[in-house]
Amino acid sequence: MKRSQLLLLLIPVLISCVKELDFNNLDDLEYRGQWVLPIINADLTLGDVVAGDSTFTADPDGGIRIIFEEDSIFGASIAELVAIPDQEKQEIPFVAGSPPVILEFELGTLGSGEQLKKIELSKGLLKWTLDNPVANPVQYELAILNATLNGDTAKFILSANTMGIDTGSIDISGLDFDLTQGSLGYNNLKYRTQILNDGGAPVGTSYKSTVQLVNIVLDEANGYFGDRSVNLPSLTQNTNISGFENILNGLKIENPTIALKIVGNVGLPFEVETDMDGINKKGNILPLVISPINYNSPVNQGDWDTSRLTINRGNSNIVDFISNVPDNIAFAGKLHLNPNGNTGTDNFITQDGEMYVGVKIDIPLEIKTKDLIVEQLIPEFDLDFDEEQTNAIEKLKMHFKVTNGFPFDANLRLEFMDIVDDGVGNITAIVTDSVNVDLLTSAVVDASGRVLTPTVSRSEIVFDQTNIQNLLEADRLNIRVTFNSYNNGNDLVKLYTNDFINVIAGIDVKLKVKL
Amino acid sequence: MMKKIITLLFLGAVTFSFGQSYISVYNFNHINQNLLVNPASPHNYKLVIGIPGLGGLSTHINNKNLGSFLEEGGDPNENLGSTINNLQPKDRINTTQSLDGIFVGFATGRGYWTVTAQQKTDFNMTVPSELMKFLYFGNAGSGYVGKSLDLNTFNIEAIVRNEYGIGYQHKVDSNLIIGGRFKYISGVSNIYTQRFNTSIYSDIENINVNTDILINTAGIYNGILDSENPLGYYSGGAFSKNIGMSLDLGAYYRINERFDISGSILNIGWVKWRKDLRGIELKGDFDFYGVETGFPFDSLDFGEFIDSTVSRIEVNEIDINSYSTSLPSHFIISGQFYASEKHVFGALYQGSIWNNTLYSNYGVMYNGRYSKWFNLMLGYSVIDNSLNNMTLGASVRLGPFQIYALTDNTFGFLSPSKIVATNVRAGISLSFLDTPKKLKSKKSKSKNE
Repeated sequence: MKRSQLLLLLIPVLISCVKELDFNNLDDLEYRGQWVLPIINADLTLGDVVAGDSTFTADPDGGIRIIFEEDSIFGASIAELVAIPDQEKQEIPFVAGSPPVILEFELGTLGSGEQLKKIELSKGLLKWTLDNPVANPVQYELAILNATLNGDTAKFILSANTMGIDTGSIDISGLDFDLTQGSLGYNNLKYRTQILNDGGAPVGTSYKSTVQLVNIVLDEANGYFGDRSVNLPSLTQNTNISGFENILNGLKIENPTIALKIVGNVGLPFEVETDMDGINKKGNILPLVISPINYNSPVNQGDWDTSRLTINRGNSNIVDFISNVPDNIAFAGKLHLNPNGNTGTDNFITQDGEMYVGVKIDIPLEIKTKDLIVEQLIPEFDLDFDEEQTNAIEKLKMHFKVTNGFPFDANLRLEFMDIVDDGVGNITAIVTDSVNVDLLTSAVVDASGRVLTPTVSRSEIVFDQTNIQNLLEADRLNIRVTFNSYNNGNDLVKLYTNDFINVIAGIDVKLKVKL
Repeated sequence: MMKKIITLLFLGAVTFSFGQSYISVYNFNHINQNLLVNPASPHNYKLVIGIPGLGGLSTHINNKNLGSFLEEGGDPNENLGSTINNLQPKDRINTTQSLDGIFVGFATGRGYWTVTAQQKTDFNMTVPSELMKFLYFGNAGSGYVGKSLDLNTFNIEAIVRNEYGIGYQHKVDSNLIIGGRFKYISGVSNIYTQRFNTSIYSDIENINVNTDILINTAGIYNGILDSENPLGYYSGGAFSKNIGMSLDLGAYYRINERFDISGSILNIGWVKWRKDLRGIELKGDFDFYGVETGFPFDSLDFGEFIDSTVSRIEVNEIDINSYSTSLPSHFIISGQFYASEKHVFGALYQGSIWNNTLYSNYGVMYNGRYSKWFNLMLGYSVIDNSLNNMTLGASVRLGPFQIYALTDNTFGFLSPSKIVATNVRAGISLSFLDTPKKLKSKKSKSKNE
C-alpha cells in the first residue's frame, strides 16, 4: 500500500514525461568516446628463440647459428652397389651310359668390367628343364663344383617322371661361390652332371636339359665390382628453419657451410655427384653447384671409412644458395663406382655393409639484409563490425614504441585484402589498401657487427577514412616487414642470444558507434 | 520497447535524486507537518492527526538534466554529452523518501507536542562525474591521457530506518518559541562507504588501476537481498538491533509585526549497525601494458588476457564488526516579512552536510493566507546550484480534513525533459484549529479599537 502511494505520486511525472520525451532519440544515440590505450606489449629475445627451437644453436660467446643436420639423406644397399643379372640358360646335354660331364661357364655380369671372385647369395633360384625321351622316370644330378652349401659341394637332383619335358626350380639361397677357378680366375661357374637313373633307355640315348640361375641377390661379394654409375633415390627435405617460410628475399648470409659426410664399411671406392636444389617459398629453385665427393673406402673388411666435403663460399655458390632462402631442399645424385678403374685391390661388401650420406648445414647468423621481406598472411581476418557500423571509427592512429636491440631497420606494411568470388568458383584475393610505417631503427653495432646500444624509436600509422573503411571491410590481412641490416643493409651484422626487441603498440581511436 | 523500458528505469533512477529541499514546507505553517523541519514553527492548531499512510509523504526529485537526450527535436548525443560535461565533482545523487505512519500534534498550555512515527529512506551518492566523463568521452576525450583519475572522493550511503519521535515546542513569550524533537531510530538497512581509494592512470603504454574499497552493509545480505519477502524486510524491523537516536532543534523569533526570523537544525544523531552485517571489499591493483606476448603471435586473445589482468582485483565478502553512521543533517535559517496578515514574503537558506560537503539550497517565497480553508505558497528556489525551481504549494481544509501538496519545481512537471529539481510533499490530516475564543476576543478587541 505504501509503495503504491509512492508510485501514485510519481504518475504525474511519468505521464508528463511521456508527453514530451521522444523515444525515437534512442535510435540515434551513439557512443563517441576517444580512447588512447595500449594493446600489445611484445618481447622477443633471441636467447628464448634459440632455447625453444632445435634448429638454432648458440656459440659460447652467444653467437647464433642455424644448424640443419640429417645423418642420412640417402644410402645405398648391397643390391644397388653389386648386382648380378639373371644368367643365360645353359644347355646341359648328357647321354645314357656316359660318365659324368664337367662344364664351365662365365658368370654373366652387368657389363661394367666386373670381376667377381667370391659371392654369397642371400636369395636365388636354379631353374631347370629336362626332356625325358622314355616312358619311365629319369633322374640325374647337377653339382656346382665351385659352390658350397653348409660346407658341402652344392648338388641338386633333377628328375622327370613321365615322357616329355619336365621343369622345376630349386632355392639356392645361401650358396657360397668361389668364382676364382678357371682360366680367368674370376666369374667362373663349374658344373658337373651325371645320370642317376636312365629309365631303362638304351645306352647312347641323348637327354636334353637346361639350367639357369635367376633372381640372384648377394649377401656378400668380393672382387672388382666394375666401373659404373648408380642413381641415388631423390627426396625433398623441409629445412624446418623457423621464419624461413616467411622470408621472401633480401637475405645475405656471409659464411654458410654445408658439410657432406659419407660413412660406410663397404670396400668399394666411389664418387658421389650430388644434385641439391634449394626451393624457396615462391618456388624459385637454385641448385647448389659443388664438386663431387669421393668415398675412399676401407681396405680391410670390418673397417669403416668416413669421407667429408665441406662446401663454403670459396668452393661453391652456397651464399647465393642460402640467400635464396630455401625452405625445402631437393636431394638427388648418383654414385660412380670405382672411379679410378681396377686398381688391383679387391672390392668387398659384406652382409652387414652399409653406406649413407649425411649433411649438416651450418649458417652462422652473420648477415646482411637488403630489403629482406618477411610476410605473414592472416587468411581469416574479421574485425566483426556490423555493416551499419562501418562509420564506427572516426579516427584511428596506431602508435609504436620500439626498443630495438637488433641490428636492423624495419618497415612495416599492412595490406588489407578482399576476397573476390567471380561466381564460378574462382576466388581471388586483391589488395585494396595498405598503410606503412618505419617501425624499427637499427641498434648501433660495433666493428664486428655486434649490437652495442639498443635504440628507442616511436612511430605511428595514421589511418584516414579510406584506410579505416578498407580495414573494417578486409577479409585478409597481410603483414609485410622489410628489413635492412645496419647502415642501410651495407654492413655485416651478427646476431647473439642477448639481442632483443620490445614493441609496445597502442591505439588512439575515436569511436562513433551506434548503440 | 525494451529500450524504452530501460530508459524509463534509468530516468527513474536518476530523477529520484539530489538535494533534499525543505524550502517549500519550512514556512508553510498551515500544515502541522512543517514542525518536522522547523520544531519551533508557530501555528494555530489544537490537534492534528495525520491519516496513517496518507498524513505525509515526501520525495525529492532532481536529475541534472540527464534525461535531456530524449528531448523532442534535440540532438540526443549533443544533449547527453553536454549534460555529462557539465557535471561537477561536488554533484551528488540524493533520494529521500519519508512516510508518516503516525503524526499526532496537540497543544498543552504554552506548549505543543508532536508524536511521530516515520519510515525514512536516504540514498546519497556522489555523482562520479569525472568517471562518467572518463567513460563517456574516453580517456583522451576527457583529458585523462597521462593523468591519474582519482576517485577517492566517491561516496555512497543509504539508510533505511524507522524513526519514532516526540517533539515539543514552548512559547517562551509572545515573540519567542523554541522547540525540539527526540527521535529513537530503528535501523532497517544500510550501505556505507568505509573507505574508497581508487585511481585510474592511463596512457598509450599503460593502464594502471589501483583500488582499495570497503563498503559496509547492514540488512542487505541476509536481509533485503536474501529475504523471501524483501519488501517486508524493507518496511519491517520496527524495533531492530540497529539502534540510533537523533535530535532536531529549532527557534522562532517575531521581531516586530513585520518581521520574524527562525532557524532549525535537523538530524543530529547516529545509528549503530549490528544486525546482518557484511562488508564488500575490492582490493588490488593491476597494470595493463597491452596484451603481453612473444613473437610471432598467431592469435591474440584480448578478452582472456584482460579478464586475467582485471581479476587481480579481488572482490570479497568479508565479516565486519558493528559500526556507527551519522545521519545526513541539515540546518535552516529563514526570515519573513509580513506585508499584511494575508500576504507574507520570506527568504530561506538550507544547508545540508554530507560527505564533508555543504550543499546549499535557498529561495524566496510568497505565502498567501487567504482564508482558514485555503492557503497558497509561491516561490523561487535554487537547489544545489540548480536554477529555475518554481515553488508551488497549497493547502485546503474541508471541514476537519486538511489536504496539502507542495512542490519545489512546478516547471519540472510542465517540461519533464528539462526537469532539474523537484521536491514533492503531499498528505491528508485531520486538524482542529485553536480555540475560536481567542480569535473572537482578538476580533472584538480590534472592533473596539
